[in-house]
Amino acid sequence: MRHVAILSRVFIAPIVALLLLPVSPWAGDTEHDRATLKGVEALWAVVGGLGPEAEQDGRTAAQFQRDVEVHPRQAGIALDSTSHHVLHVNVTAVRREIGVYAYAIEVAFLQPVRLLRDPRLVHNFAVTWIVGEVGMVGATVLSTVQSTVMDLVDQFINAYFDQNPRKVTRISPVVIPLRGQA
Amino acid sequence: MRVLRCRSALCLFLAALALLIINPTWAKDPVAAYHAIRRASLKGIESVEVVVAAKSEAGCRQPSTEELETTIEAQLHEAGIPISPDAASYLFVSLNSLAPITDALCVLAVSVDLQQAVALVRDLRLTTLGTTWQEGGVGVTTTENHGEFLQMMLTAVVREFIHAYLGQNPKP
Repeated sequence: MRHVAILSRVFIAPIVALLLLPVSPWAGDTEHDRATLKGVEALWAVVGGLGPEAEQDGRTAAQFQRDVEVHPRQAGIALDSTSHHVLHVNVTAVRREIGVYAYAIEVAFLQPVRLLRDPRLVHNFAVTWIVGEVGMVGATVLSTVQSTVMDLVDQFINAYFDQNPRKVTRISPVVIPLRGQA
Repeated sequence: MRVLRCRSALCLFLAALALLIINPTWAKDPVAAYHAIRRASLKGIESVEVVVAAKSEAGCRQPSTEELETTIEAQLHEAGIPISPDAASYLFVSLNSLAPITDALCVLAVSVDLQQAVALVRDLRLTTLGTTWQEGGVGVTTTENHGEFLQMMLTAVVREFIHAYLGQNPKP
């Protein structure tokens, strides 16, 4: 990804201590988009982007990878690094001289597809579900981007379970007699 | 029956071959493999329809959607990529400008997605418009340089598409 940036130095750092104004430019979570998640049994969570500047400010790619894996796993989605169904989380953060980051986050689901115009091209991947946000944040509060990432990952989890409802297992009640009732 | 058995044997052989060829590449460098796959998805596209979605906040005004479409189409046309309103493949260009700091700075995000009709391999009855190629960028600029900066980012990202497209569909 190519990043180009021009910035005047007349701006003072304190005014940008905490600015988080995300918007949602990508709309890829419609009913039709969600339908493409139906029947997915396991996925591979991959985190990309970030860059060395963000790592210097305390967020490492390894940390992001761990964070991104926690929510789906806790929700009961199987994670498998050999799966060809990929949850791709891309965080692009560009740091400017006054100590702010412009960031773009994308949470996308990719899967193997055939192109309808040429079904012979079997080995192909496409993004079939995607959400994202763009914003700006002060370097000292870069970690707040993480909560935005996790909100988007949670949106994926909701979409996933919308199409793959959890199986309810009935547990027989265990009766423990109260003291003196035995 | 014999023919069917031969076909099954052939299929099994091809599947085994595919596993031998594809899996090690995927396992060794999945990012490089994915980039090669997404470039290959452009092969054979005869024309594209340009669709622009632009959003901006006060102080970071962008040209109109029509103006942006015209600019992108001119760049594609110059590169020899056919544009058609009836194309089955869409070049979806998304531009977002935020003005978060007292109207002095603009955050810009540009992305270019090639979308085409696909069927899911695990259920070929399910078809959708999938993004098979994508490029984008994010940056910060002053409000006064916003227009120039936007143009620069847009041109750079569309140029990436042109490069990838012509790599798969060389001019005769």
